[in-house]
Amino acid sequence: MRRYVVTVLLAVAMVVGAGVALGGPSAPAPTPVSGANPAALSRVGGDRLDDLIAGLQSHLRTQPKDARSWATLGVAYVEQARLTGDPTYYPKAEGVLRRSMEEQAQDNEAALTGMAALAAARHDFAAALAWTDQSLEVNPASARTWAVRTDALVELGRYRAAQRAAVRADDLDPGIPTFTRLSYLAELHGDLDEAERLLRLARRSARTPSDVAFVRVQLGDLARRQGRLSAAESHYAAALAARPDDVPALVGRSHVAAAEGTLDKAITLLTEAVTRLPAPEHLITLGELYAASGDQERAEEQYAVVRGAARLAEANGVSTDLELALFEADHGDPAAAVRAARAEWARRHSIHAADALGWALHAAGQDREALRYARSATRLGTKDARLLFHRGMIETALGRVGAARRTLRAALAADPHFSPLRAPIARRTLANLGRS
Amino acid sequence: MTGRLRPAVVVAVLLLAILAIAGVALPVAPAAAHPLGNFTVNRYSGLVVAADELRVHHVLDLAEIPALQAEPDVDSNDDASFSPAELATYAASTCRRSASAMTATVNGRAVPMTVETSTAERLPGQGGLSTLRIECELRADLPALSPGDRLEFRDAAADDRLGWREITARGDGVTLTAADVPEQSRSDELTAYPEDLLDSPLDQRAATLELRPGGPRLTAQDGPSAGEASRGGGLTAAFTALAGSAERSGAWWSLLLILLSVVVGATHALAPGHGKTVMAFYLAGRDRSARAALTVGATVTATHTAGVLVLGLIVSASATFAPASAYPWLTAASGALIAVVGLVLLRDARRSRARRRAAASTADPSQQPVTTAVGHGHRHGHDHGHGPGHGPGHDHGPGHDHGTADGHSHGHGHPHGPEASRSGLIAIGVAGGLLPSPTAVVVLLGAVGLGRPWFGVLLVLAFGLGMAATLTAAGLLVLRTRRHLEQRRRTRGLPGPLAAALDRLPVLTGTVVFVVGVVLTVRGLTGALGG
Repeated sequence: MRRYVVTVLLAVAMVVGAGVALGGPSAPAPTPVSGANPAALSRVGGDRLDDLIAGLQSHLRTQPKDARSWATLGVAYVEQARLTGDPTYYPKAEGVLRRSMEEQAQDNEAALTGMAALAAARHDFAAALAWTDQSLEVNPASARTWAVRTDALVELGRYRAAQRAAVRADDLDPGIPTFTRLSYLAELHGDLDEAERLLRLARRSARTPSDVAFVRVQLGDLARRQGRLSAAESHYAAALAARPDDVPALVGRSHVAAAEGTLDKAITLLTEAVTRLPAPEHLITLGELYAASGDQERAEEQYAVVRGAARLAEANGVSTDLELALFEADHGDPAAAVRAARAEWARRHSIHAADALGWALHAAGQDREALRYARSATRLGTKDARLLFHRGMIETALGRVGAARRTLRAALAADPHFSPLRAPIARRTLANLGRS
Repeated sequence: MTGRLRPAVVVAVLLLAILAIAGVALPVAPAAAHPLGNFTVNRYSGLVVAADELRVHHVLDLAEIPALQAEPDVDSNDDASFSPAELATYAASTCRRSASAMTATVNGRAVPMTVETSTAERLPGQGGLSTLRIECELRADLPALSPGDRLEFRDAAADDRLGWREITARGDGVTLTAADVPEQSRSDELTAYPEDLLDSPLDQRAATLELRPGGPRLTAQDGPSAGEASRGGGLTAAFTALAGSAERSGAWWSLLLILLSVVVGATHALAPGHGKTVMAFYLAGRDRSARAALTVGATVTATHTAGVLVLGLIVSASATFAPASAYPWLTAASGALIAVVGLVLLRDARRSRARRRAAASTADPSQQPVTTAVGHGHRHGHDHGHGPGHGPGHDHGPGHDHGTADGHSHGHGHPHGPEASRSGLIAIGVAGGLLPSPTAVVVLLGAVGLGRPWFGVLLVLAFGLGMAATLTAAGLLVLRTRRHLEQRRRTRGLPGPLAAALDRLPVLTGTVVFVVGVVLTVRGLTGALGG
């Protein structure tokens, strides 16, 4: 009987584990649609992941030599951290993955890929890439390793290599993890139709509630940014129907409410989201919603929490998030923002790192240098209103009227409601440029 | 062979000791960050069901980020500092909110919760930030309970946020016949979160309890002893409930309880613990009679009874003394004692081997290897038994012959003196009895609470007798097994490894006893100093 249970457990763990890791792309971070919480979470979401973890934990208490199960548990912890936003699981994941490598030092592909996913989740993308190198030496035909590698390459700004890795993963094992990654790459290159087509493919293969929620939020974000608010709203509603406490879906609805001009509703929704998961990016957005509604005091309260999060990140030795660098540029100390963004740029040349550095330099008054980075941030032709807004404002500051007018128009065309604080600034600036 | 053995043994002992120390010390490593992450809101609800009320000790531990988010609510005058008044106001409103998010029902009918007291405390956290700890005492009136009543508790606020969610439940004059939550807090009420790679944060948001009126009252120091007693399993729990139940008294009832005491004591000694193991090894390693087993048993009973009485006296005399604080020290003391006994055993084993080697080389130089010589030594030593335990030896005729044929062997068996081994036996007994069983303490305190202290003493004595019976039986079993094996070797011979193990028994057992002693000492000391 017991043997039977263990066998079943192992079988489930291997199947699900494969799914998890394959899903498990990296870094959330800067971009809304980013590999953020990709199909990953979805694969084994919510309760199934809890069950898997509990099953593996009890299995490993009796079978502590099982390297494969240690690796699967490590990947499951990474997923749990991403799904719940609870970073406590990262050190646990690392301990468990290292244990797996102790039990099986050679050719432990599962643990190596797990370490890659963990490094990516912790925003150490160079390390993530190096781990996938090792893992691919063991098994060059592992779709999940290529998927994690895609995330690392995207965040490092090596988009062409990322595209190749994603195609490779897709050739080996097409599915939600590869569709969403290819879609994100298409979106970064400004090909929104292709991005949408790929997401619809993903939606067709989505079965579990978390899969459905994840893909629907992606579709919702894509629709919202193109101004198709009612389509976006119905995607978010479907996501929440599948997973009632899905934070990204709540955040999406809040954005829709803000775009529709109902700031109170947007604030209520986002307050619920940050109560569940006080991620800095959401706290910043909430503060800006308060500021847009004229409640500067409440806005400052949210900013104070964001500053606390920044201090914690520093105390933990975590490299500052690009969101926090942008926050410093907008609401804090421009010099500190430049320092943080330069440090990040030294590590990686992604368009979002370029954007953060450009905007920080602009806030510090160094517009000439800022423009170089703003151009780099828009080098892929991404139709991202925030990137374009930053570049347009820098061009305006440099007096390049024609370029500024074109860029700001493109920003508002990409998403007329991209920010309750900045969309009005973009319009005003554009109007002033028109007059001059 | 013997020459090779000694350094090997020393190395093995050292290695084991180091491993033991490392194994004990590692998990104690401190953590800088909030152990459950800076995002978490951790909550604990300690339920106590009494005959007429439900009391809930509710604790909220807000890590750095939630504490920051709460700051505007606490700092009502916006002066960026928390005055005691602000903290008190915040605590009161938080506890009210907590109470309203909780639902408690008895047989489906809701009982409203009210806040009795509330406190909030700001504690230093990471990165120069702080964390918040809020404690609420909540209560609800309960209707008159009858056996089989169901109490359901749910904390809806636990759904909101990430974090540790824990519920415990105990009865106070009420017995929980079924509960889906433990009695004891795994996080020590959110002060020490277990950090194990194979543990997820606890996620208990609701509890369902089945109640029966009647049962022991919680003692002033309700914590550890009550909790540990219940962990002893169904029999122990039933026994403490019986012994504490106030309604019954009378001669038959008392007799039943005393008998039950013996049984519970006997099963307690069967539960995993070190006393028996050590004693079994001790007896196995030395050439001992059944009288030795009795000596240990008697010492265990005496020490244990005395220990429980002393602890009971201290607990009932002092309101602040927590028995739990004494346990680590007692553990360390008994560990040290055991380690010393182990060293003595090792020393004796070495000496007797040296002696045997000398005897073998002079008396019988032509006879080959040391193994035979060692075998001789054993045979003599063991056949001298005169005590009540002699029976098994007699059963095997040939063994007896050997014994009688070799008169001077007596001298060999005992040169290191009965006094030394006698004190060793007593030391083992003391070490085994030094740790008072929590069950016995609870039973004693319960009897004292009922106004029958002498009856409590009697119960504890019976409990100790039960323990001694099991321990003695275990010792006899070991002796008998060993005699049987040696008998067999003489008559039919034993497979090589088994025979070799039998020869090295004294060294082996000395090592085990020593290592167990060291492990216990270290664990006791880390508990006492670290905790």
